[in-house]
Amino acid sequence: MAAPWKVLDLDPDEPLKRAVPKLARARLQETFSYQSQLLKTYDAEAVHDMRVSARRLQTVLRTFHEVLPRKRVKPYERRVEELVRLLGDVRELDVALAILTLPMSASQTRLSGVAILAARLEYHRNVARKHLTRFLTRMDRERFTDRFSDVFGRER
Amino acid sequence: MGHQQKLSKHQSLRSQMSMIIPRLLEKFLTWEGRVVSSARHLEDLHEMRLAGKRMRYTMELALPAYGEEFERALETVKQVTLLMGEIHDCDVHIGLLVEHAQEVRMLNKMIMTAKWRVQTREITMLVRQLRGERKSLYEQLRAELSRWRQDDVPRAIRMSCGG
Repeated sequence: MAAPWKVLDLDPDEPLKRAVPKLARARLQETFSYQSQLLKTYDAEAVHDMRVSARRLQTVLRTFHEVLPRKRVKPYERRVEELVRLLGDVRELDVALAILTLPMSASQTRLSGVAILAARLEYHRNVARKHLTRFLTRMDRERFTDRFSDVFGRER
Repeated sequence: MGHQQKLSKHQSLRSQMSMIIPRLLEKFLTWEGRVVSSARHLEDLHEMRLAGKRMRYTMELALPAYGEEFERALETVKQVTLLMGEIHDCDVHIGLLVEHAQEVRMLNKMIMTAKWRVQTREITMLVRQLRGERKSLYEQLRAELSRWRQDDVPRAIRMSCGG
């Protein structure tokens, strides 16, 4: 799991109204920094890293919801929730498929139950990846990161 | 927990974190008794893991505000949440495999010719292996939470952020 990005211009003694937008912007950038690698290879680590970063972003939004402009943040927060859910669907299947690796016996003549399960999970993973790709593409089209960053930018 | 003080956007990140982190710690410890009392309290373990993750990610945000002691406290929280995550993965996978084995056995009952039946031996082996791993991880978690009590780790976490 990748370490969280440091927020370089953060001063812990500045008031929350200035610190929270910096934290949120940093977590937002961190989350989407994994996007191109993820879409290129669907590497399990990239999926995991993006999911953890999106959860870190959620933590900022939930922990400091009292000091954020609720109405403006809410629609973006919902999109982040959906992103976490879609990343979770792929991640869970990546992890489940990784455990189905017991050596098959060479003399096996009957169809293996493990192989059937692996095939079923792979199918579901492909579907989950397609949903995630579609969602990320839509977020790009809507310029999600720019618009969400602007919400925090104007709050400074 | 009593009445919770509201956050103030005019207060510093440092001062507000010293209020938020102890709250999250209390929430995390709510499930401790149930989790250590039985390996089968899966729901409680799940809730404790989620509370632990939230505390961990919040502590990461507060890293620039505190010193080395806080960094060590975060590492302790991280280790315990990772352990809980591994136990949770075992639970999910055991459930998945057991359910799949039941489906396969039902299917096999409808197949008259033995050689066409689907083999379940490997599924059983995997379930056994995962149950063994789960047992050992749970014992590690119990030992770690017992160490938390012995060394008063919750107090060290509170102190590290001035809470």
